[in-house]
Amino acid sequence: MRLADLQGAYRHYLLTGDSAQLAPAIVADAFDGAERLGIYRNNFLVGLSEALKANFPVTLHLLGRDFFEQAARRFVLARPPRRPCLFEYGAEFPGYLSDLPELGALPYVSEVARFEFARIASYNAAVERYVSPDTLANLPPDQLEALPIRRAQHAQVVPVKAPVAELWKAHQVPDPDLSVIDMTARPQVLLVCRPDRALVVRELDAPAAQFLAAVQDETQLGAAAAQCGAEDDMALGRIIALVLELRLLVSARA
Amino acid sequence: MDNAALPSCSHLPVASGIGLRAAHHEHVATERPEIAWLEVHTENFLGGGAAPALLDTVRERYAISLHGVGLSLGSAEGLDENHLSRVAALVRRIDPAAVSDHVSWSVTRGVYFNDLLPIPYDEETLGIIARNVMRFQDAIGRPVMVENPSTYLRHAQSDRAESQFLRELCQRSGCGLLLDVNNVFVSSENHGDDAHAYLAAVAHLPIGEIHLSGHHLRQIGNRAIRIDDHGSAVSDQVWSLYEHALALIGPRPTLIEWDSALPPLETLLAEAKKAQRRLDHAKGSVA
Repeated sequence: MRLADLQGAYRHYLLTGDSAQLAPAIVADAFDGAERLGIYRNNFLVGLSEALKANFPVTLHLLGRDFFEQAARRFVLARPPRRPCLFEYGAEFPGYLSDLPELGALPYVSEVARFEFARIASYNAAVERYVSPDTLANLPPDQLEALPIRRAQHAQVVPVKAPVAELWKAHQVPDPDLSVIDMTARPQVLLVCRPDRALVVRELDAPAAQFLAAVQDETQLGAAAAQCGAEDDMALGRIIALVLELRLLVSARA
Repeated sequence: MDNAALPSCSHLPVASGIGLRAAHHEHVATERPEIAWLEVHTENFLGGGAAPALLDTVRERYAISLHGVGLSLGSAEGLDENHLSRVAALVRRIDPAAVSDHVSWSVTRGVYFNDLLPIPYDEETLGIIARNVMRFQDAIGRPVMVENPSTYLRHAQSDRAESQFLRELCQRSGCGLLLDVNNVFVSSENHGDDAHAYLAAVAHLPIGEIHLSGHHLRQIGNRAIRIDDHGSAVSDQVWSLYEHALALIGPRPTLIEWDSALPPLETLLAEAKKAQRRLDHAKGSVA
């Protein structure tokens, strides 16, 4: 068999478990072809399930090992990785969990998963050239208004309804006590970012959340300020102070 | 730590090193334990964020080996140029003492299987993997090492032994061999081959690094197969094969690899000391 065809047969087998096409290409001895191939398929499924466990440790705890492993295996087969960097794997996992009928009564689980992936994305986001206080201080007002900006890649915004940050924090010790957490739904917008080496999590008020939504794609500073709904200059000043402190903006100017 | 005898694919100290995994990042960066060199999985550091920044810090103290698990050198469709350019950027940033990947494949038509899948040992595959290794070396501007795999099956179409395939690959592409002694043992046992004969057949190749790790025995019905899981201490049989390899090829930089069920750092350092004692003995024999 040509190598391309052989690898196509592996692809079919690994994703479906149907070894009819591939097994004859494998030497049979004490083990037949399907048994030997089964070792690789098991490695593929277990390896990627373990990768998801590593990326979603709190979700794993909330779901329990058995349920998580079953869901992870089904996800791996439905949405196998497209790239060889496993820290990028699982962006679709929170959405996959939220679509599972079994989790209909536990909507906070997929929110926690979304929060966990935001942490990974922020940790691994490339360092960029952030807008600094000096940049803003040295610009005349008209250029300040027209300054082209966008949100830094490390700034991840996660809207949630459950007390996700509290749930995550409670899981940073062994045997977490979840009974102390008030699970009443309370919509909030969480910011996960990495201004320097360590991750920072903040809850955003509505104007700050709207400002960061406005700068998700390239825009002008004046336009984002107008869209954020800050009541007065003092409120706008608090937003600007926040984005400068946490290095949330990148100048989109070439 | 003399490495004058090493082939050009390796500038590692001729000493034992350990694989650095995420759970030990902070400990190693802050405590700086006594060890000659560290190996990391290249793909964990391609994000451009906090991970490569950590590598910037540890490389000031340790020689670094970048060991890839995702280039898929055995893919018929060639290398993913986007991934290759990210690897090349990390090599430029870190200037590692060695760069390596595997004699296997893991990507086809846009799916990454995250496993070191086996290739047939035949002429077509040799041409493909040699071309891919040369593309890899061109992209990073230096010779690389390729690692012999653990295998659990053989392809009916293979027409030569793995050791011969590796010899031809090294000759054709100019790459070196990363000799994984545990993999030699696992594959030989799984296929009823002679591990000593394998070592004799590759001993004269440009071997720039040795890997040691644990494996386990899995029962399937009333039969057993050895699975390379990097999840335990090096077995006595593999230590013995390692001593034989050192006697054949001379001392080489040697890595303790541990990935699943990762123990405390002290356990890895203790395993590395065991390898170092054997390296010291081999150096004494050479001198």
